[in-house]
Amino acid sequence: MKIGDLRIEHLEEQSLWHLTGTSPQSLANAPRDWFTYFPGDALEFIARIGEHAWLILNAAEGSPGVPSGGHCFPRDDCLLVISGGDWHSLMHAICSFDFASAAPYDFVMTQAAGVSIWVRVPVESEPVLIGCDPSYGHYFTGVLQEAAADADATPISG
Amino acid sequence: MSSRLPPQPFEWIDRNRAVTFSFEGRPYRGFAGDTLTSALLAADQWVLGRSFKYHRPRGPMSLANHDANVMVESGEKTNLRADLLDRLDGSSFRVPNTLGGVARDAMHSVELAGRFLPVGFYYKAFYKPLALFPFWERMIRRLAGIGKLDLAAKPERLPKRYAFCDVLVVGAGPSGMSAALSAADAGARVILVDENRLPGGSLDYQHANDPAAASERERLGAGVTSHSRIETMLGAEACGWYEDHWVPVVRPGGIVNVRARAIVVATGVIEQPAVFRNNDLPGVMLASGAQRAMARFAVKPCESAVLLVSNEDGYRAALDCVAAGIRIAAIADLEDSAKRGHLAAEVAAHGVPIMDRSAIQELRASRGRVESAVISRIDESGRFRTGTRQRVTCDGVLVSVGWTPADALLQQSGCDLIHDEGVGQFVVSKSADGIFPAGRVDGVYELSDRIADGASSGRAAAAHAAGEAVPRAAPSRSTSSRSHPYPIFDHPKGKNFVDFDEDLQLEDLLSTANQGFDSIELMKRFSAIGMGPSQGKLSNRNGIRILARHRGQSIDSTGSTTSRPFFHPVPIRSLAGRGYRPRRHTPIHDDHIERRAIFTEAGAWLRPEYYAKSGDRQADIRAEARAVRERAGLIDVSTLGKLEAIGPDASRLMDELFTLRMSRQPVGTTRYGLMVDDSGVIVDDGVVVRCAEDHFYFTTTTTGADAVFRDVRKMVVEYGYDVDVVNRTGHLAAISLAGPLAREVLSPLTDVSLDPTAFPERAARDCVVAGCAAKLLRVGFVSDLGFEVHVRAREGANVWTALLEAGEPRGLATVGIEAQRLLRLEMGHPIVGQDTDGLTNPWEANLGWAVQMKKERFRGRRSLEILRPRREKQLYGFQLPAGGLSPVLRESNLVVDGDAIVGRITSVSWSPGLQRVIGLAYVNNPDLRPGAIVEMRTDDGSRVRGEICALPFYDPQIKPSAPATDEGATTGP
Repeated sequence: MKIGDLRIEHLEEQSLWHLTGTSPQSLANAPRDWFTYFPGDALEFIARIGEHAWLILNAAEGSPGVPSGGHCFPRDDCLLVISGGDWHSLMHAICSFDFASAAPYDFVMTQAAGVSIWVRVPVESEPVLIGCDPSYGHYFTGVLQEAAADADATPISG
Repeated sequence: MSSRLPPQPFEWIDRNRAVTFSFEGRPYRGFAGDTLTSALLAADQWVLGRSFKYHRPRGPMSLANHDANVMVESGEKTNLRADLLDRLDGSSFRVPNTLGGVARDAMHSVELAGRFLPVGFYYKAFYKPLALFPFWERMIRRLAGIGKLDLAAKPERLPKRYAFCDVLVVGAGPSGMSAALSAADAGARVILVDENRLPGGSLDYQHANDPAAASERERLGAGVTSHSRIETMLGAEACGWYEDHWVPVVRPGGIVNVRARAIVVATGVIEQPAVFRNNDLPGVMLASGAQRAMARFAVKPCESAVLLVSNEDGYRAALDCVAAGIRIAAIADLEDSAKRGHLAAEVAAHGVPIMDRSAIQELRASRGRVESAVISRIDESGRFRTGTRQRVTCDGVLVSVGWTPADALLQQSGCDLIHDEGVGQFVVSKSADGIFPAGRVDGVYELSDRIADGASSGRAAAAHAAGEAVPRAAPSRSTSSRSHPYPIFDHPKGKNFVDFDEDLQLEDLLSTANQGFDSIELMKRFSAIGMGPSQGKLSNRNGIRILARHRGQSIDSTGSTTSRPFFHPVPIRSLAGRGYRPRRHTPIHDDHIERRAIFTEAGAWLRPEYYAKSGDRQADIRAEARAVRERAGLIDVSTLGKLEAIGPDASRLMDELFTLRMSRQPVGTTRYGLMVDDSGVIVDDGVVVRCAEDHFYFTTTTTGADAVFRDVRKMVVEYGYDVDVVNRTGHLAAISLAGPLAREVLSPLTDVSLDPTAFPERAARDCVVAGCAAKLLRVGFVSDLGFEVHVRAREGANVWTALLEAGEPRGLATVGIEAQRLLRLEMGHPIVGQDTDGLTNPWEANLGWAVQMKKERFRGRRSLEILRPRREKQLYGFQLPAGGLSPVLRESNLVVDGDAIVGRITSVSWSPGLQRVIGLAYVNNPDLRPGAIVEMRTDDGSRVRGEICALPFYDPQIKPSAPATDEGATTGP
């Protein structure tokens, strides 16, 4: 595995929200299927993460409109953008989920390197967006960088 | 003298790159691609190891890591297998555990005492007289062992990875390559794994001179290397099977955990040795080992060979020897050579003497290597015929008497195996789901059949991976046995070895069975057969044969030992993998670093233990505590669990979860929340804020958040509550501001009045602090006046800084966890997890005030009702006489009454405010009164007398935590 020109960057100044207590019918532009997302501009998305639970990323400040009966909580996830390389291989160094089996618009919630993460599976050449609890951000970013360095040094084939 | 052959068509060595290394202190040369074994054989060195028990000289047998005859150490690494070592240049190797070197190991004299060291002698010796055991232990450790650990060696970790495929093919021989190609052609993603550094398997040594194999070698090799859906992992060992088709593949760079939808097991067979006197001498090799030496490494294994055969593979090996210029002194065929077909005729055409129905009775040695073989004819029962002995001079003996399937993965995955007498080996009678055997491992021996079988298994595996049912075609198993049923020959002088790792002879196994250990599992455990470094690859099969004959039963009835991972040894550094140790930082972590915080672990979190200001830890902690008592202190409590429950059933959930009645808690107030499990044991606690009629915000202990969240979610589902629960622990910062000046510090920064009437004890407000939306709580965990500020994580550092800037002119200090623990102890508050354990109920922990038995239901209520009258111990506060700084008592020191243990200390500390040692301890007497004296034992055994006292310690003006009425409990941290 060669990570190649892979870049790992923090995504700052985004507005992330956990919306709960509402149904897909009451939420415009929301996916019906669990663990999928509808994309917005740039890396924005609205993802369904439970029966009545949604994760919303807005580039703009301010909470999204909350439908009747819903509750909205701000989140400060550590957001990492991986671009320019083989992100599948990088994630397979730390995560037992088969990302090759995930389709674009899948919203994968799994564990990597011992912490819970979510992954916005990109379309084609889009960068991949990964989030984790902010308190694990320092640790998880370090593990990713270490894995990238190790992977460059250790070919998987041959 | 060199035994290097001219270039061979498929050799693995690079003759353009010479390498140098040393072995046992002598310099050697080889080629890049040589293993240590092949390079030393090329230099005509044959004594490369010493046996474990008798220190007999040993040489290589398989050149495939099937035997462990040659194990070396190099620098800080030990337990290195010479058959695999291929990075030689500049390295130095030595054989461990010899006295005087491998060539003249003085410990060989142990063999003279061999008759006093029968199998299992160590179970029956050395324990009397007991005083001599250390002597024996030292001696055994010196004589035995397979290496010496370098305790100064730097620990290594190799990162693990994950890989995924539709079909995993284990074994890149003709069957495996064929399977990989057919699976990939069917559209499957394939990973092809082989422990050798190049694909080909037996094609490049057993069939190296077979013109019929040439085209297949080229087709299969080119196919697997060029196919876009095949990923190859070479030099990689599939060392075990685990549920859901997880297979750890051990590579030099670390383990790759492969998850497959289906697995083709094309692992082939392992050639087995014959058992006869001195069958372990250097110069004795498996025929396939000799073929590997010649074809892969261009090394001639000997000049003059005797072959012991019982199948046509032995004759193929003989032809390879002839091609390499080796003189075949004789072939002893255990049966009739006429059965071997054209191969025997071809060998005979070279003038090789073939002795039918003959076996090697014994070998003789000269200069540590085979010098001659004594061959005799055998009768129908395998006994030597008298008067038929012939001594044949040779310097090598090649053995080809049969095979055993490398079926570890098949066994581990749950395939049923039976012994097929026709093939002479175990074969698969029923495959496990998603497992597809292919080739010789399942008794298919003809090359064309193996390739066809591989293709069939590959197609079936690909179909299985796609959710379709395409059966594997019936395998064309060999119709004639490739393995002799009993290639084992007794000799009155013994030294006919069955297990080379453990120096087990035929008589050892017969003795084991005669002592009653006559099932295969018992025989293994008593004799240790198959328990050495090679894990029975060359011994288990013969062990089963010996036991089967001894008991007069079939191989099938005798069975085999359980196969468990790992098939080959796995380095600890590979098992260790990358060290994952998730660590959580609070949003204020960087500021703590700037303020020279010394961190401590609290679960996954890193928390400031104290801030190093003076260089004296105790002084710094006491200064922090003093700041809280006299001015104000700022504590980062972001590690607390922080959960929200919102919905119509929120108050019902809170009532069920906590022991106090939360449904009657007024909006805008806090209440202490105690959680117990179904058995009434305390599991967590925190502060509960009622934000609205249908909305609660509550905290948990630092390490309890995830467990409480899971528990609450489960409760919501089980009870069908209409409530959403959100775990916001990491997304919120929490800062505790405590001390008499807390109000002064905070007031200028917030938009709410902190006046005691506007913001009384146990109040909670949504407000703005330092420009940030905050939830503000009145709490009293470490001081009678305290606030907690809860804000978004991204705003935590700013609020912290603003509070410090506002407070530092007034003497506000940052406070770590140690001072916090001391302060809460002074307040008499127990900490769940420190002052409670996995059996503590609220009655014992002095928390009965936090349980409202009038409440109709809550979790654990019935248990608490039963436990209440059964209370046998109680948590008490105690204090030592004033003065004296020595903290001689520690947590977990015992409370004693004479010689009886009657309790233990859970918290203890020197209180700078009270100028004495104070603590909490459980005592097995629930009726002690303040003033009672208890005795406690320190670490050094001395005893300290303490006085039971009322809580809290610090300020008698603070009201006890008990509620005024059963419904009125509101006081708490």
